[in-house]
Amino acid sequence: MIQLTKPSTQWEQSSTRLGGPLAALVLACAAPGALAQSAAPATYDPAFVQQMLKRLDAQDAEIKRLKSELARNGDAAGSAESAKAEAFPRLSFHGFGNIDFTARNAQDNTGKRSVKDTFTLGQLDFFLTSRINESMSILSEVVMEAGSDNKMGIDLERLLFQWRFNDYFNMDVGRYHTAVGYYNTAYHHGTWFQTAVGRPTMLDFEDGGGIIPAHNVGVHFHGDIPSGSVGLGYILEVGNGRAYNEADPGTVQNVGDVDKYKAVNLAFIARPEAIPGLQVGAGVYHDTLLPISNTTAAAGTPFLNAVGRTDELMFHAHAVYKHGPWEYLSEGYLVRHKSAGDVAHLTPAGFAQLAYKIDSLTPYTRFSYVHALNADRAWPFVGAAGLHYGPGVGLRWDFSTLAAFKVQYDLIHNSLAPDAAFYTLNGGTLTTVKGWDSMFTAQIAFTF
Amino acid sequence: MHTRFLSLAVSLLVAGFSVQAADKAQHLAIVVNKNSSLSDITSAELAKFFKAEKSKAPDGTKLVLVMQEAGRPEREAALQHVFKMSDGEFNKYFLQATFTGAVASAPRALANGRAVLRFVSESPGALGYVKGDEADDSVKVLKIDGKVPGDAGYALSCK
Repeated sequence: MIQLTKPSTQWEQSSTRLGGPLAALVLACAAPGALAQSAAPATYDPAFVQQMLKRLDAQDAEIKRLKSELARNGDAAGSAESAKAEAFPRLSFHGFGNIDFTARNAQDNTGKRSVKDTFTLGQLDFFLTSRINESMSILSEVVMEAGSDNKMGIDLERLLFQWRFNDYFNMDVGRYHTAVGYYNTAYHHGTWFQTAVGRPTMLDFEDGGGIIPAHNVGVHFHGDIPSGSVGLGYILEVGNGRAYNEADPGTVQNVGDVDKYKAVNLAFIARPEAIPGLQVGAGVYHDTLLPISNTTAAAGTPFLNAVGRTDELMFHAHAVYKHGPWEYLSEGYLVRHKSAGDVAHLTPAGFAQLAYKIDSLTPYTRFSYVHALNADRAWPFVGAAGLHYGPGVGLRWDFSTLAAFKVQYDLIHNSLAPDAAFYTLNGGTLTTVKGWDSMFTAQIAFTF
Repeated sequence: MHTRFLSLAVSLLVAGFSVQAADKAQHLAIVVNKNSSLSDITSAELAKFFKAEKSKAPDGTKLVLVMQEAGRPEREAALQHVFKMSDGEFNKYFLQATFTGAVASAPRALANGRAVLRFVSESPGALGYVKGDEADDSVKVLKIDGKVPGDAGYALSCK
């Protein structure tokens, strides 16, 4: 055994210089040497200690050299990352999905529950963006979902060529979400983004009976308006608009416009610096609709073949406050249809939603209102006719940074039974009658 | 007497430098490329730049945001004082901004302050942050509301 009683201070000093783990390493390295010296005198040997100290100094020098090399490699990594900043295309992929369970107490005309409790596959959303240079990028969103016939379908929901010229002028060309109100552009097909389980009734997509044209194909300009702390901005959209097709109301005209008229949407927003998180905005959307002339009306289906040119005008306004734990969303719409030979029909609609985040939990409430006039000859565009209103309450639990569990209970009053023809046209089933209807939904929403 | 006075003055000067160095170390420096037209901006403008609500400097240079990796104290300070968000909220914010098309991608995150300095010094439109005492002359340190790291009342503290 080596006895190092006296030089132990020197050992400690070396250990202190090198740090705990390193001292252990040094001890381990020194051990074979020490073992080799097992024949050394059992008493204090200054020459041996000097030899060991030299060895430690050499190892110190080696460690410094390695640290320096490591630092140089770190800088090289930084340079490599710098170089990457200039590399195009920069592709980014995200996926979104949701799975729901719903229970609804809707009754049919005999008083029996007409809807079974059910699990529902939501949308599987593949979202791709790619920057092709400093100011241009491509955005695409492809969604897979099952229809009411349980068959899966694939939809290209968005395809945009984006040009970011400066803060005052930006352009997107392709299929986009119309900036009618706030919700339609802030929340798309990934329900994970939305606090609630779904969109407000009037903002359902075209195939779900929503009253607004959620998608459009055309060009979308947007930018800031120099206004200092008021934070003004504009949005101008020009697109094909939706088809006035009885067989498939509200179809997005992806590859051809059936009429010569273009849908135009002009909106202004303000984000005042004085109230961070506040956004208010208002705008107007206009399109001229012509029924597709070769549509054959099924017996009992209403109107469209008998309708001539129809002006569609939509006024929309919103006030949104999202700051810290608070989220307040409110929007109002007024849809005006004026068909040739008919009087103008107005459909007001709106919703308000309030949420407050407490750690991973977000309780929320929402109130929706739609009053779609049955007399409106373009009523398939305004969803189920009648007055629909009611509150909903829910709780969102972000149990992971990339996944959330939500439960929501909605109570809706329907002043009119929906027209069976409408639901047939939309491929759905007759599910509600006059009076109160309620629905419970549980949802897992995630991104990946 | 003169010697004692001189000694006192030197001591005070050294103490003053030490205090300022300590203060700078507790502040977050916002750094841009040395050729950037930015020099003095408000806290509100800074938030708009980092949240990608404004994408270009006044001279038209496209801004390239750079963060530090999760867990770094500098990132925590930036999230607290500039974004006013948690890390999860930050990720969701940029994911949603990407989803709505407002930005093409989330800001890149580099390993440490040295990598940020390197990146900023090499990229004309880069905008990033480092600890106040880490900023060197390879980059330009922005004044925020007229103040630089080390000044009393500087808005961006960093533990």
